[in-house]
Amino acid sequence: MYPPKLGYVIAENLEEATDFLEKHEDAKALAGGHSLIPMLKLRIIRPSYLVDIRRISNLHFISPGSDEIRIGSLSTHYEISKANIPLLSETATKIADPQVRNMGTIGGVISQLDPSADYPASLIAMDAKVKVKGKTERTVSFKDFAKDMFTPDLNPGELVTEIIVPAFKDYKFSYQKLERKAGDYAIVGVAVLLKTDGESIKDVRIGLTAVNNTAVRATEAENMLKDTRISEEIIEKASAKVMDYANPVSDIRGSAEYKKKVTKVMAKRAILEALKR
Amino acid sequence: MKYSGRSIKRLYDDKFVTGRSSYVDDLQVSAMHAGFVRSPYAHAKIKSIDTSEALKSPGIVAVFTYKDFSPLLKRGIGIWETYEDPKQWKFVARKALADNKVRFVGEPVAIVIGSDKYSVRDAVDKVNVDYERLPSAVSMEDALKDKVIIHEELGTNVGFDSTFSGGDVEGSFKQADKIISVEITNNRLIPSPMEPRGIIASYESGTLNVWYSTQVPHAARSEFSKVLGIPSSKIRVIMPDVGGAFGSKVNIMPEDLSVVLSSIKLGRPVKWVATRSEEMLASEARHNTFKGEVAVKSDGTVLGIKGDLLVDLGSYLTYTAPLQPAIIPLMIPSAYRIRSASIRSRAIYTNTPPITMYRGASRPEATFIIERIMSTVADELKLDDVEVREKNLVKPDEVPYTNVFGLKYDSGDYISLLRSGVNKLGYYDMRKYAEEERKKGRKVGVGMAFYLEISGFGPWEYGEVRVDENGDVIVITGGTPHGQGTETAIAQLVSDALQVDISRIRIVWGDTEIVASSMGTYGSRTISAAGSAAQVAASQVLEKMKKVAARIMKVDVEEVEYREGEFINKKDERVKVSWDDVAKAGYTGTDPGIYAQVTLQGDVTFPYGVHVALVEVDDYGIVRVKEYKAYDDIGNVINPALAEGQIMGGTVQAVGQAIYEEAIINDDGGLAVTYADYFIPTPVEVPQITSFFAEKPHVSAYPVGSKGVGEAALIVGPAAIVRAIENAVNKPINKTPVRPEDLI
Repeated sequence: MYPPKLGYVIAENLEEATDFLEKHEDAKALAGGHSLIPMLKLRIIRPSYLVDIRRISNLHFISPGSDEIRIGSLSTHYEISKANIPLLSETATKIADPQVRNMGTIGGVISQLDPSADYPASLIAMDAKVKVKGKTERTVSFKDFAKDMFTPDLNPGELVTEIIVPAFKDYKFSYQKLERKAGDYAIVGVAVLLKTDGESIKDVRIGLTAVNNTAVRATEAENMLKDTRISEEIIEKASAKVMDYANPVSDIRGSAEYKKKVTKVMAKRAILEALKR
Repeated sequence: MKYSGRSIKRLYDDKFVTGRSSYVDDLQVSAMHAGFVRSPYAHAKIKSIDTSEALKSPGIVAVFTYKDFSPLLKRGIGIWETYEDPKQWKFVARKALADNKVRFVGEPVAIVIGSDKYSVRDAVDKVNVDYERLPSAVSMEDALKDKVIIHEELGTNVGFDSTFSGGDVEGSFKQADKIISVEITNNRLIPSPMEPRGIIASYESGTLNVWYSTQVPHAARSEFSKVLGIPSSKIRVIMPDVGGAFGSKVNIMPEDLSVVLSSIKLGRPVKWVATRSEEMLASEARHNTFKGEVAVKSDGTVLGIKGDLLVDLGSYLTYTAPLQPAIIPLMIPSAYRIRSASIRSRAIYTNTPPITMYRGASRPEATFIIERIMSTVADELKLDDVEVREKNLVKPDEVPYTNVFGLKYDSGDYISLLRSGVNKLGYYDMRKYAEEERKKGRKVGVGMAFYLEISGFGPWEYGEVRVDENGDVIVITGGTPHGQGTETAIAQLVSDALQVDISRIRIVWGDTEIVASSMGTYGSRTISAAGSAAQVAASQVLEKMKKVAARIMKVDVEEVEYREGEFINKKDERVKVSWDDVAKAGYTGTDPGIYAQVTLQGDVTFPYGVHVALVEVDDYGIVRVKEYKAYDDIGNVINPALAEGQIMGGTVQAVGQAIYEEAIINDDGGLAVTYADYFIPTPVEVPQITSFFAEKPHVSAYPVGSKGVGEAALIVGPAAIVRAIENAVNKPINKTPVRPEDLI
């Protein structure tokens, strides 16, 4: 890699990192580096400094509580995959390949907000909250945090410190990802959380990634399923409704028309898989 | 103990598996580093180039453009005249850097030389090129209109236009029961060797030394000599370990030439190793379409083929691109008895990265075309795939057989191979299984394809065997193995010829000052051509040693027999002398020295086989190739494990070509993919591979009797896999790669 000339700073603690990032607006925080490094290589970005935040140990934790689970932003995909978090752990197992899962962090993913990233489908379905720290600390919903593709709600000098998700006890779930070959980005990713009572669905949440600028929830499809008896017919109808929430663009991974079609099939598969658990 | 025919472990792999191999980038030469300023446009005039800012950049010693190099050039880079006829071509020999125009996105415009790669990369951004954009012709269809002319000197974008005809085509179409139309396309690929290309050039006191990631050191030396006007005797090209090539490193790049020219201008060593993005631009491959008609009888007999073949060249004619449009038509008849055909083959310049040869070069294209034709005929006439092929295959008593275009197939029994192959691979059982699975709702399919390919490619190859005074053996081969392991097979052949242990043999290649002459490794030819030359040299060395033994035993040479390390007096078997003693004596007395050099002539040869693929397509149109089976007659098999390795590697690339790899060029002429989305199969995508070789092979005329296997699976694989997908989804497909959206 032959990036543009840049400075490299190792931050010992969070305050040092945010102070530095605030003073140098064109500096970039380096965590796992799996989006940053390729962009440096291609010279798409030209940061003045890389601020290595990997040694900030108080961002590196996962703490399960009875109502919610707090995830430090430096948690790797591998660590999340092993943490038994409903939906999110399964999502983490499907990100890229083992090397990426060992290095990449959840804070990095949501600060980058690649439209094809896996976590956002689950985070939006879970009503996740994002804790952000700069001069002050604030907590925003993931939905508001993800303003647009590659556009997180982060001001200069702010870093994501924590992601908070409800515990979703007694929920069934599934994250289904369609990829052309092992380790690729999602063509479409569908996250489903379900609460059933016997044969009826009490609550359902459906999140979609890779088929819009940012992850979306298919709320009308959720409403169609909520408080209904489980039947093939209603699942079929709801899956078709999920497709209405997909506004994909044509690219190498498929035409827009193809991606819409498979969104429906993936949604159905995610719902059925969740019900099986 | 005989070595040939056995799976001897590869001799020189330790360094590769322990990370101790040395590629161009690993060589410790105190060289300046080079980087290239590249065109952002597909077609533009260069109005001016301002290098002043770059030259001020720290660590930069020089920036050269076309103007600096043109006085040093006798001519541009030519074509591979061993196999290609310049008279058939309209082309402008490509210079080291763009002259007054750029013709593709990524074309090198200036070379920046500096003390380290980082400074060079920064300075590349500081060279200001003032372009005036021109309308471009990115697709072959656009280029054919000749509204945008890519090389003004030529007056047209058609570089090659030749009609290959034989037999009574009109008559055959009149006799036909049915005429079937076909359109068949192979999209653009990127060969992607693990090691990108690289070069170090050092020019001192009139002598040029080049360390080069190449498959053809001697051809490169000859081309550098012609381009620079430096005699070949003063150029040395050394091929260090080469991390794969797949044909793409026969090509001589303008970047390579620019590095050489820079070293001459600066009088200092200069080095360039392509970045991965540069490697993706350096060699692209395939990209052709055939549109035609096929005249058939209702029993499936193919009477004639006529059609138009369009082959993309990219913006310049590379050293190896002329092969494809000239060989594809000749190979379209394959092993079938097609007695009339007329194919117009045109090669088109477009404002895209230049095309080079890639594993199979011309035979994958021809095989895909003819096998699509055979399968289409089967579908149209509701006949079985195997039956249609069997009906049309050349019969054993017709071989040697001259095809409709005059190509002479040397040996083979195509029908027997098809029958025993289909049987051995369990094709009909697999078809039945797929049908049963489809009844259960799964989209499983099985497809077969047959191929006959051309390999060996003459015209000669070099082999030298030296036995030293200790009896150890050095073999110098004109072959240039770069990952295939053919050096081990050559050692096996020489061990057998000399009846010495393989551990006493060392194989050397890839240096123009060690190897007297060489063609190289490409076209599945190394064991046939280089192996035979080494074997013949070994037998000559043995004759010399018999003479020495006769001298020692004081008998006539006719009375000496050599058996397993001992020279024996036939008249009195108690009198004998050992290999080692003869070797020692060979360096005393009159006529000392035990060497033999052989430049062995050879010709083309024609391996063939049948391959079968099993695929499953899911609800999303995503294909998995689950099983791949091969049955090949490749002549004598010297090392079955090496041969099987070639089938495996070819299969992986066939899976890539069939369903994953596509070098998409956007409307502005830019390569639209990186390795994030140019999908090369990973181990997860590799099917279970089974390979068999014919028990009674039909040998070639080469002394070792082999025919070649290096390209077979990539030649026939895409056709077999595409046929399997058709079987799974019951829908016609006539292109590679097949995308998921084509299937749902």
